[in-house]
Amino acid sequence: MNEKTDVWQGTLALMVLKTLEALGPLHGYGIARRIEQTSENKLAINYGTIYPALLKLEQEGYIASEWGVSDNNRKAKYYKLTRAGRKRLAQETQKWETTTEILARFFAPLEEP
Amino acid sequence: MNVRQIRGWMARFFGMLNRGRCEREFAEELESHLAIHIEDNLRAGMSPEEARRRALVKLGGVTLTKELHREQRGLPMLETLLQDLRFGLRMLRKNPGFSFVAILTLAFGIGANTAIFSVVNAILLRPLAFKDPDQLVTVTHLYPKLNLSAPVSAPGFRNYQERGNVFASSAISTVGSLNMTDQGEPERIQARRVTASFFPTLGVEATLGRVFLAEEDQPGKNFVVVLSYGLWQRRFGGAANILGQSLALNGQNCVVIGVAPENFRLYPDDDLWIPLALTPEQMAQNREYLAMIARLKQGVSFAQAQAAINNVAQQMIRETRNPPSDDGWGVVVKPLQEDMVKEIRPALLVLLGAVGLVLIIACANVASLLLVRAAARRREVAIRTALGARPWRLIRQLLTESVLLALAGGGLGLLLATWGVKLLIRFNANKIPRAQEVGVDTGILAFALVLSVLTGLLFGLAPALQSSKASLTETLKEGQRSSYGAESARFRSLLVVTEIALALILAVGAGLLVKSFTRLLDVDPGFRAQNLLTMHIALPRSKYRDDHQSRAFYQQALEKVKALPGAQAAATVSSLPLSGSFWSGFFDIEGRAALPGEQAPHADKRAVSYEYLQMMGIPLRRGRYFSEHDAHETLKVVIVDDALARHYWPNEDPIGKRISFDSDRNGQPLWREIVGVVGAIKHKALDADSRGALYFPQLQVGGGAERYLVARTASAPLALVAAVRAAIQAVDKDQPIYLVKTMDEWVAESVAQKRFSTLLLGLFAAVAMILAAVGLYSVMSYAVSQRTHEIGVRLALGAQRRDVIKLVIRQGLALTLIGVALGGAAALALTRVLQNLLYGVSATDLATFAAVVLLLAFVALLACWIPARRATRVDPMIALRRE
Repeated sequence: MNEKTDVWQGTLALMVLKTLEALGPLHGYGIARRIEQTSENKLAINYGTIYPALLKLEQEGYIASEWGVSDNNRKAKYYKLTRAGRKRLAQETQKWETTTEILARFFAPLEEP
Repeated sequence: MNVRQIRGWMARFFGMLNRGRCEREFAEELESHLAIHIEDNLRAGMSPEEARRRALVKLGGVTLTKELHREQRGLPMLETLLQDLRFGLRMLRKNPGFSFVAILTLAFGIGANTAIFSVVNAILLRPLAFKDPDQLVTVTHLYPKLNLSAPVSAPGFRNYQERGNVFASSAISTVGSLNMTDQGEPERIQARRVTASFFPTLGVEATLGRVFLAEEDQPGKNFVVVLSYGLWQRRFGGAANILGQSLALNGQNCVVIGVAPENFRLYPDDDLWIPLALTPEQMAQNREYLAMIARLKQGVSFAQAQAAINNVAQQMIRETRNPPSDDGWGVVVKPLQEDMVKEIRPALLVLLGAVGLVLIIACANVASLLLVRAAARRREVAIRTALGARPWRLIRQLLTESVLLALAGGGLGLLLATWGVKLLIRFNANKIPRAQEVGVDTGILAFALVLSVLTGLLFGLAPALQSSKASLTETLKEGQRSSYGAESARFRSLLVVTEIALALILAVGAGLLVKSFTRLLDVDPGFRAQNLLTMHIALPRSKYRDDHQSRAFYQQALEKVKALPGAQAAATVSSLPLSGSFWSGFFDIEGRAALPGEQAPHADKRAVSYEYLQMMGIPLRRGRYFSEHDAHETLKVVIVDDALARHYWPNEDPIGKRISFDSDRNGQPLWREIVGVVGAIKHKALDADSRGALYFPQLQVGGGAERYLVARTASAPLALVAAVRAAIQAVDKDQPIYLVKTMDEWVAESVAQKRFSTLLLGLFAAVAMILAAVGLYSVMSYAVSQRTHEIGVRLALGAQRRDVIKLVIRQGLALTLIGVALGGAAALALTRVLQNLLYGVSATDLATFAAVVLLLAFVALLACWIPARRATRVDPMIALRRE
């Protein structure tokens, strides 16, 4: 049970980082919304689960938070990538691409003799 | 763990500290999240209620989100622990009565244990403060048939060292007193003459200066001293320039060459050390007066050393011209530590056992208290379980409370122990070996802490487990009766029965010791001990070169003392009863040669001035006392005590027979005629019968420079001290008197250790009984409260108050009787252990058992009385209504 949660939490963290890289500083609601949209609604998550993930990333120093004002003049907490976050993202992306590449070979249709 | 993870944990740690602020901030963040979401929803065209509802649903629940966030934020394990601690403290504060009793009970149990354990540890267990102390041994001569051990002789020492080949090094010493007269008052100090190998054998180095060199251990070259730390501080103020200073010891100037370290306390009464410097004649002398210590060679065991020394002893027997019978004399090798503490070991071990019992009773009491409390909190526990609390969490919380109790009790107990140890030592420093080494140290601290926590877990466990197993529906019901309650009550009854049994065992032990002690105090010492002033005088050989001069001194001294107003009589004796000093030797009976295989006659020897026996009130059985006519040139006479007379002349009159214990100038035995038989006295201790004593006039033997002077006073002896001292100094202004005590003080001192053990055991027994009574009281109290309904019914149906009281007391007495029966049976078996410590009392003395049982029954009755009375005050109307 724990392993599954860990893997999920890891994936979620990656998605958050990627979102922040793409969209720049964003508040919690925005990040969650964006993740849902990017997955084309195939991923249906409770928005609340984003917050523990954000907190963990912040504790480990990959993102930083700051209170700001939203478009509608609402006070909101904005998160942005730190340099460490960027580096992590690059590392994970690289790892992911390598994995995908290797696996792709396994799942590719067999060459006709 | 990589850097990021560490950073993560640290952030969580700070998050825990900033809990409030983080909580508030996140609440704000959630609020803003919802607001933005709702706005989006509104813009999408939903109604305000729909917008809000959808936003909340999509969030997944505010409470849950907050919960998840909180878990991530701090250190949950630490936080729950802190929470448990806070809760536990609050619960303990809410029940001050319970907490107070529980903590005090534990404090006394743990405190007593720690105090006694400190003492046992320092005296019996901890190795001596020497280098490799388990290699150190003492060597003594033993006369097994006489049950007498003696110091070694100089030739013996040489043989054991050289022929035995098992000692890496060894040393001999003998102790004596000297007059120190350099500045100020002449002071009499205890000096030990040692061989140069003494300090190196023990591995002791001087803390200032040095110890003796081999060349200083020769006659004429031995005018050097090593001071003890105590003397250096006391008499010389710890002066740094003490080295090279000159002291006058018995008129002889000696130079201080060193100071011994503070923790060197092998013979704690030694004030300083001088080289032994035996002359060749003294080295060949067969006199047994030297204390021998040795260090075993590497790899040699005690058994091997003993065997080797036995061989040497056999050789020596073969080589002497007049061997004592083979099994009449032997040499014993014993570990040094064992030798130092052998007297006090049995008593200490008994006390340790007693304290263990008290701890068990204390734990049982607290366990019982906790069980009651657990029962009272059943409903709370049931509700919390119903609300979803996990059993492990509940157990942990209850355990935390118990551990808190234990730590509080342990802390207080440690305080009690420190104070208690100081008290113990102050009362008994003289009589307890190594007393100065006793203190509460870190080892004891750890012991107390571990004991606290163990008892916390132990007695917290039972109630905690019982609590969580409670059946939910049953306890949520309002009914008081449930199977759980009955089970708990049975267990508590078991606890109380155990406590009573243990308390009985302790009380019986204490009772036996008390009876034995009073018997001891009643013992007739054989002489009149009241109104006797005693002191020790040692004339220095440098000033009093021959017997004539010392005789003159004592004659004048006695005359002057007798002339003092307030003094009725005065006399001298070579060894004072109950002072620990003694002199004994073999003697020959005229006309009776010792048969082979028979032990040669042996007795205590006491040189006295002619007035002594009469003055001491020692009764004359036959013949006559000494008189002033029994002097140096007249017929040599002795008086024997009736123990000696009965042993060697069972069917004859010893008067007129002759004995000899020394020889004249030509080597011929000096025969002395027995002129009287007196009553035997208790010389060694009040509970030790005389081994036979020979009294002879001091004027008819040589020596006598060191004597005890005894004066019978009209009233309080100590009032005469100054006058006596002045009288002595009128004869010789440089002569100090030493060890000034009344005979009553000597008697009290001789039983000091027994008094100490008896007192302690009595104290423990009293505490045990009180604790058991408290335990019984709480069980009966609870039983009454459980049966309130039943009692109400009985009262309503016409029962008298008397009947209710009988009902309650019957239950209490039943428990008491079972406890007493069990305890009594156990005590009968266990008190055997005490037999060695008892005098004049059997370990199964029925009178004592009966008295203790009655006392315990009475105390138990008291304990039941209060709840019983409370039961009678039950208002039937309230009781019937209460469910």
